This record gives sequence, C-alpha cells and structure tokens, in this order.
Amino acid sequence: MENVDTIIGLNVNLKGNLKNQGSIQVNGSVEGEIRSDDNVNVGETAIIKGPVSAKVVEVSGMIKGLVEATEKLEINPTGKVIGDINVKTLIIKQGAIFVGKSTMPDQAGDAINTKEQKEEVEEIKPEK
Amino acid sequence: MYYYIFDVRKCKNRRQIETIKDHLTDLGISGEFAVPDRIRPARDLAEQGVFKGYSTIVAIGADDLIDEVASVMLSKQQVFGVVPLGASENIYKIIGANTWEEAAVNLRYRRVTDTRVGIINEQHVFFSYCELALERPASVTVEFEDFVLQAKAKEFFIANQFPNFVKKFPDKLDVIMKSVDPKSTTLWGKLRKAIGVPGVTKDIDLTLVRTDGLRIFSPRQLQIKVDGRLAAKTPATFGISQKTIRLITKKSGNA
Repeated sequence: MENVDTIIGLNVNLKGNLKNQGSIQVNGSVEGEIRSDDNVNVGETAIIKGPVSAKVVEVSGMIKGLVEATEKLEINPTGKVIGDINVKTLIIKQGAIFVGKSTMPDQAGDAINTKEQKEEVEEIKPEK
Repeated sequence: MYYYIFDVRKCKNRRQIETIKDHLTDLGISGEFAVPDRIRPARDLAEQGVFKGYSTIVAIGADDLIDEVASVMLSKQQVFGVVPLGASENIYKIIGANTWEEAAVNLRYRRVTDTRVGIINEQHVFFSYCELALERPASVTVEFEDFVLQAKAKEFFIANQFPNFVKKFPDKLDVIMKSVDPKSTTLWGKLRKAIGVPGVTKDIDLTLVRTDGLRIFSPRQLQIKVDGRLAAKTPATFGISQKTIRLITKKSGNA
C-alpha cells in the first residue's frame, strides 16, 4: 500500500462524500460517494454503500453502488460488487461476486451495452 | 536588527544566560533582550519588537514561548527566529538544529522558510502536532468539510509538521488516528481479538486524512495536548493558518 493519500481505517464509519483526496484505501465503512482522480483500493474489511469513481478500482471488500473506472476495475476473490459498473477494463477473479450491469467503452470509445447496437455493427460489415 | 524574547527561567543558571548572550554577540547578531513576565507577556513583547521596527524577532525558550510568539508573527513581514531551550524535539527538527548553539548559528545565516502553523479554536498555535490525550480508547466524531468520521480511537494526532514524516501537502493538516473495535471492551470482543479474524492484515486500523480544517466532538471531554502541554479540550476546531510565518531554518552547508 504505497503512496496512499487517504486511508479510512478498520472500525471507522464515514458518512458523506470523499472527494479530491488523492489515492484512497478503505478498510472501514463508507456511506456516500467516493470520487478520486487516482486509485481506490477497497480492503477486505471495507463496506461501501454508494457510488465509487476512480482511475483504478480494486475491490477485496464490498461495494453496493455504481462503480466507474476510467482504466480498470479488479474484483479480487473476496470482493463483492453489487451494482452497475462502467469500466474500461474489467478483471473478475475466481471467487469474486458481481451482481449488476456492465458497460464498457469499445475501441472507438462508444459504450456497447445493447443487442441493437451490436446488430447495427453487423449490418455495416457486408457493405465493406 | 534582532529583538530577543528570552525566557530566562529555562536557563540552568545565571551563567547560562550570559553564555547565550555572549554567543550571540560573537556571531555578530546581538540585539535588544526582553524578558517576559506576568505584566508583559511574550505576546505583548513580540508586538513591541515589531512596533519598534526590528527586522527579526527571536524566541529563546521552550514550546509555550515559541508558540505564543509565533501567533503574533503570522503574516508579519518580520522574520521569526527560534533558539530552543528546554523545548521539545519537534522544535529542534523543524528549525534544523540539534542544540541551542546550532540554532544561534542558523540565525546568523538567515535561511527563511515560509511556514504554516496549526491553530486550535482560532487561538492556540502549534508548529508540529497536537494529540488527544487518550489514556483509554474513546469515541470521537470528526467533522470535515464534506464528510463525518465516527470511531473509537486509541491514538489521535493532528499534525502540521510531524518529525520524520514527509508532508505531502504542505497547506493541509494530517489527521492520523488508530481505531479499535467498538466492542473490544466486552469479553466477547476481547475473545474475538485474541482468536483473530482470518485474512485481516496488520495496521488496517490506521486512518489518515488530509484537510484544511476539522472539528472534534466526543461524549466525554478529552484533553488536547501540544508537546505534552494542555492546550484545549473537546469539542474543538482545528485549522491550518492561511497566513505564513517567515521562519529561520537551517541553511544547507552551515558548519
């Protein structure tokens, strides 16, 4: 856990919005929004109820809420994410739990999350 | 040029008073000396030194004198020097000296650093850090600008400058807390702790938050100490000065 700017320790309850606090390590409980331009690491003992938005989100505890990661979301074996996610890269390890809808930008940067959009792409292909 | 506020009570004997004055004279930085007392406290003397036009105000003494003079020097154009006598280790580290003699040499070379200080209840100034005096864990509620923390704390520090701890954000206070399981005082809580929770690593009871200001509340009144001295009691507000003190610190290459 190097170069962490903010740490919420075990048995600490946070209510409110944790924003502009650099890279964040959570080991306690948070009710509210977490927003970082850097990384957010959710420890095994952490429980977060609320949206999480960061560059990289690594989950070993629990998040109940929307998760947005501009680079990567990694759910470790002890991790649980209950809620929708909007991430560029997704890693779900064996044993992890994810319940929700996943949205991922494609190479062009547009989100592909419906069957209709996939059919449009297939129709364009024969013309080429 | 130099105005010295000298707490002579911190000297071992009368001879040391003269030794200090002679040493400053030998360095070529002698000046006017004033001794604070009940009628003229250090704060008033510092104002007087500024009013008289001295360019450097120096506190010779321990942390209480240094903090009192520092509170006057906030946002002043005059430079603030420190010669620690009976002061905490923190003060020595902040000015970059190991002894009062080295601190006097620092005054000669005059490397000036713009330094912020911590403030308790908009009154009490602290250079280094303050702490909650916790003989046993206590429930605390800490209010920040956008969120509130609640925990049972066994250690609690608010640092402006923590010796040997690199300050990443110079314009913020570092709030450092070690928390305990709220149930740990019960027999069951103690058993759980003794057995242990699998997969939990050490030091995850550490909390670190950087902030401009905070307020602390607690069910039972807790003492707030600065360098071991009682400064305030909860509930209390803490902030970092927006103004700076022009503090003389060690110049690199000092002999």
